[in-house]
Amino acid sequence: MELLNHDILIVGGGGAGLRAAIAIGEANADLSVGVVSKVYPMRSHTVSAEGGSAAVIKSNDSLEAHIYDTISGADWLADQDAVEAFVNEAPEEMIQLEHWGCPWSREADGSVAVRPFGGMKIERTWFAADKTGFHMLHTLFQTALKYNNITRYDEWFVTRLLTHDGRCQGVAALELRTGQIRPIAAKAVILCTGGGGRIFPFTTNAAIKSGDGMALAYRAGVPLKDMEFVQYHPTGLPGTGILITEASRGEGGILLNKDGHRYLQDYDLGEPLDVSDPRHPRKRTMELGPRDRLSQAFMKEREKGRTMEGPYGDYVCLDLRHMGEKKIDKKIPFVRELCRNYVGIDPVHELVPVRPVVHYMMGGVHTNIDGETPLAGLFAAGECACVSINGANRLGSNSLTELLVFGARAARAAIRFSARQDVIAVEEIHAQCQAEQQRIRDRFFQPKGGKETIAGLRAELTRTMESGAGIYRTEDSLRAACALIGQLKERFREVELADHSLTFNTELTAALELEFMIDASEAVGHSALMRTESRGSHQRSDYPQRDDERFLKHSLAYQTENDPRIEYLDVVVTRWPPAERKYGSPVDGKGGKGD
Amino acid sequence: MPSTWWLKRKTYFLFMVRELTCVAVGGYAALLLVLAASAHDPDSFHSVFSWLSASRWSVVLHAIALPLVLYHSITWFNLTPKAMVV
Amino acid sequence: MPEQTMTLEVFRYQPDEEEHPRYQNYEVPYREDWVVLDALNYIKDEIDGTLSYRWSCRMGVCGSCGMMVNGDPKLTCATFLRDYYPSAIRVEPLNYFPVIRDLIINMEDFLHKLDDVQAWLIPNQEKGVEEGEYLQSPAELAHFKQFSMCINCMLCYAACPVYGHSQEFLGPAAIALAQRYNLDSRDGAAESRAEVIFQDVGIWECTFVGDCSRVCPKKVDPAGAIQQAKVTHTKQFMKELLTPWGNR
Repeated sequence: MELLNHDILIVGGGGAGLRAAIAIGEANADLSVGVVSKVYPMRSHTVSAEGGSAAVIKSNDSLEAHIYDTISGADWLADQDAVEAFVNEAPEEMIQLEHWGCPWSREADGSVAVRPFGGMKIERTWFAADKTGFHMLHTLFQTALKYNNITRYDEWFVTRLLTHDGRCQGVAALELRTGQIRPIAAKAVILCTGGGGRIFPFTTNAAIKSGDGMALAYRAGVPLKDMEFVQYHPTGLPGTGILITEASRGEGGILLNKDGHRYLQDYDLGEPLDVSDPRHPRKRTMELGPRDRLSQAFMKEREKGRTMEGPYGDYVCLDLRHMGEKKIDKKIPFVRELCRNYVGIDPVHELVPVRPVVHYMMGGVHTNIDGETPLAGLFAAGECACVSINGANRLGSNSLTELLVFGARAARAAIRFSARQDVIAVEEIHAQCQAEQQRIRDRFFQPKGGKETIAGLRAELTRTMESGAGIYRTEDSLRAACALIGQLKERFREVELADHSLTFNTELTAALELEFMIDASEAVGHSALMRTESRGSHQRSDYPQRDDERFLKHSLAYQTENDPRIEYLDVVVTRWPPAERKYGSPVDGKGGKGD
Repeated sequence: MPSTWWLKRKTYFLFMVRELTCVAVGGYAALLLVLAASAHDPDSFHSVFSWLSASRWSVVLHAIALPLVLYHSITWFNLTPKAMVV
Repeated sequence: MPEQTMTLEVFRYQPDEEEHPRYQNYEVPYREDWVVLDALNYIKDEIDGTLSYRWSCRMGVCGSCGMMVNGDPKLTCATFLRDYYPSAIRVEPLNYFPVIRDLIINMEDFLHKLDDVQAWLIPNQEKGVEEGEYLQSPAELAHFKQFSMCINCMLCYAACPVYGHSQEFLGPAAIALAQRYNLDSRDGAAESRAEVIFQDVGIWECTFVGDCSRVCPKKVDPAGAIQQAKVTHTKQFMKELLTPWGNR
């Protein structure tokens, strides 16, 4: 078997992966870069981000302010040196993207326009209409085309990291079109595979987001950091998980329970104003309260049996009808377009069913400020990594910028690392890849009469995560979830594939993804169980207070034969001592087309 | 592709009709040229003109050609703005 | 009330195992809010795990799930069952592309074409990051914005009979993206793209059927882009013809 070989191999072709590839492509034309992606890069989930990307550029803003917003938003669990580096490098990265052609929205004088965003005290969110992620991804993808030293492996699915001598030296990847599993050797590997929101039943995340990179690293002995922190968005469509932006509430939309009552007033979120009142909606109150509080109110309401039941589970209603067609079309056309085109509901005449949906995973592969993981030769960036700048709660519009800053940083670190390596253990790589091939053949292609189906196990897994490790968690719910995940792991061995073809076997990839999802879920469940405090997105009903004494620490989940081992690592605190988390500036409806 | 490809989709079919209507446009143009060529001599102009206005054939031809030319013109005006850089 | 169902006739083909494609019928539940992709996912999960197709975002922006639905190129995530119910729906891979398997097409050709037209920004004048952004007025942005909305879903190629006749043709999306950069005030490489775009298999193969623009889910109007490029080329050609002494 021919050995494919690169100086640096990037796994994942989304925002972070492409940014890293370009950084290497630019740095040195003699370096060869491989980008392995299970989908064509422009299909990556970065494409779905709507809102924007934060970086300080206007004179009324300051780096200091962006740093503080990020740290306080993170409920002080972010590493402050990482946040500083992030904020300092953000403007340069964003301008760089402008130079590559990103169609940022503009001010009348031709400079880049910024808009306000929830959690940011000053407007600093760059945007490209309401398709920011789409434009960033396509700009990066098209720019990457011009470098001859970038080789793409489109629709190749990485199943395992190949390590030897304490160093990551490549990957085993399944070429979907041929069904061959082939080794790709590299002096350094950067994981940029995105998050794993699909481990939950209700999520804005695309189908491809199965936590692949997290699980790959976890299996290679690298710890997963802060996995218990999972961010919800309060208003997604049940079923599809399509996100209905904050702007819909900013422009006056209201939330109703099954009795048509504006239930948020019962949860200490302020007094409702009539929708015809010119002061409605009022910042920081009711529908414009903090995201997590809105999601939590939904859960309480559901406990009381005041939500509605639909084919995809419980929901409440977002009412935009009083706004009228004209205002809806003028202010939030994108919301109407999404509702009509993809779920067939017209918000001008109908109530929109909504519920909290999983949006983002703050946790991920443990890296330092340069994207280096504890495993030599392995780097990570983007949502699959945890540097950490997002701490216990990510600030809206920081994640797109994170892809750029840490994609580039990881690339630079990988370049430095690869320059120091000269040998690759070719034989060892081949042997490991062959073993991986054998494993997959034995596990999925030997008829063994197993009764489990992928869809069945996946549904059970996501249900387990929702009920056990959802918005509110308790020791009991988490213990039950962890036990169930353990059982699912066992039952996964009984999965029987119907499809034994080698050509584009999507049933096989679904099985491999499910295996990754189970591993990621295990890390989430156990990390959440061990963190007996409430902080940011991690809310323990049995431990409602933040506990800096014991938990101003990152959790690190290591895979073992049995349950994962959880260790802790101090948070880096430099100039901003922990304080009470006050929610940043209120969600601003005028332009805060949420992400 | 089979030679009947343009029968497979309505839009393809309408495209072919649009393309074929150029025959009618060409016919009109030829007629005008004949008319123009005869203009130097009042007698011949008169005879062409009276054929045009009185002959049953002429009426039939015009009845066929007019909708085709109209279709051609309408689609042309619909499409032209697309070609302009705004 | 018994559950309402409807039939999907799905194109099945395994080139390495079967000589000819076949159609397989599946009974799926009919739901008001379901799109064709939901029905395919139902088939995959509940009836037949061997059915292969691509999908990801289910909100019309990733561009993965383009297929022929009753002969029309569509994003299946935005095509409701209710618009066809109770008749059967025929689902096939996008026209004019080689089939890898079932509903999955081979679109490598398009990626090469993106390379050929240099679909990336080649600035007029290189500028360092420290010099800040290029200024671009909202009007200059509006000039090319529409053509930057292409999600590479390939519906326009599946609608283009010219591409059906010859894969040499650059095709709607690639030309629209070339035009997107040509019209960008920051770009200065229209001339170097001209060689590829202005050749016969570039814009001049296009006979302006216009179906590409009709099927485009993002209203990119690639047909418009191609006609614009034709006008530009014609103007250039006439100018050169009439002023041969001009330095270009």
